[in-house]
Amino acid sequence: MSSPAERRQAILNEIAAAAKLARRDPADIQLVAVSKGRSAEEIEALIVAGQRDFGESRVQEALQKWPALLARYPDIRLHAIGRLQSNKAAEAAKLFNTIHSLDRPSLLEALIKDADRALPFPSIYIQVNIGEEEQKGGCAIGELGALVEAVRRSPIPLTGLMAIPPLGLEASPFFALLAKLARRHDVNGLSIGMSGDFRTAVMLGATAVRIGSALFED
Amino acid sequence: MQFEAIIFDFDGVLVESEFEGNRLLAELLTGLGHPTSIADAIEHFTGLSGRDFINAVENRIGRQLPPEFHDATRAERDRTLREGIAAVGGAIEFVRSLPVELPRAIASSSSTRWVRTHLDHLGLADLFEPHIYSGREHVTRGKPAPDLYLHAAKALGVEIANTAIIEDSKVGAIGALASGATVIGLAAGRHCFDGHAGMLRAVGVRQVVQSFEELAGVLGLHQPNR
Repeated sequence: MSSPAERRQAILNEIAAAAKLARRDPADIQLVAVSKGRSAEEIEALIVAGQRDFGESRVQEALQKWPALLARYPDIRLHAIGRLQSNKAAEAAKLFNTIHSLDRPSLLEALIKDADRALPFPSIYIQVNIGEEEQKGGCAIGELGALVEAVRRSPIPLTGLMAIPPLGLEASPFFALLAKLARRHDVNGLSIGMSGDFRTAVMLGATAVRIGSALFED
Repeated sequence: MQFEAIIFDFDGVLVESEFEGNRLLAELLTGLGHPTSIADAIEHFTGLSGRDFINAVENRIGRQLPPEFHDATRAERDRTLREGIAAVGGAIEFVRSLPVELPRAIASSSSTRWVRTHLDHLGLADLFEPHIYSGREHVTRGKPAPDLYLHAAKALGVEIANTAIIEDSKVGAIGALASGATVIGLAAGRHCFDGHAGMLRAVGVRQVVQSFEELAGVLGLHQPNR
């Protein structure tokens, strides 16, 4: 059985290997540990192993788990990776350093409206519905330009684009399409890649990979 | 006058946040081709935040703000949180000279996080803890409702009628007067131009002072040694 520290190191090694193949600097790739559904004890074991970026899907769950951990480890960076309701935007803006799932102008407005000037604005990835799936979150490809422009004309800093490719299909064409959209809109960051496909994502330009099971489970 | 307790507003009373923010705003708007003085910015944009602030600025200049404007204000926001904001002249000495047994609180429309961040920078946090109250956290109705001052007085264990409230803004003064406390207008911050005292008197503030030294005199406190 492997320890959290060993699993984390194994993933960092794989990220570094994939980055080397793509002639990228591994330091440019952020490993976000997806801690939704994990207990505070499981999370703390990874923190002790050196992990600092964590992703949560639900604001309510994050509010229950994280304040106590953040008090002990103030250098943690929290990432919101699930669909955000606008009525949770104010709470999300306080808790999260980065939001990976901005998908509509109304959510952007909600984030700006109640911003607390005692906190830096969270940085934003715009989630794109890259497979044009009806049930999936993310803005439509055709609406991306307008949303990029709206973020640029707001106080919220735009970090990049995020996407989750359709389940059961090869991910690389979707990652490549997202990278192309990012270049077209002059955006640098790409939040792509999960436990099953992060090596591909790193080779295609990921700046943040979101890993859950491979970090938390044997 | 003798009081059982003092309640301070924060922005513009203890720290120069009103002036600093509006100075940058005036510079940025002027740089964008819309000549704006600090006094103009203070008059039109003080007290606004979030979307209301952006809308007010865009309405005034008649166009959308460019990304560079937001980059600059964001950088300033981060710098302010990191480095702090200057205290209003005489504020630090005044707070330090208050008798230790005199109850005091802060009642601010900003978040407690903002107030604590800047009290820490000024080394004054210990002189107020735990009595730091926010209109967006401790009461449902913020200023100009009187609720936050009543909440602070209750938490201090004093009668509001025996409390002095120090305010610099119209909105704050209206709420403070409605609470039943004695309200003293303070026009000591750099954002207080000619007419500030008159503006406070116009909403019913009977006593307006121009400095913390004058305030100490009005409150019957020993003037701080300077």
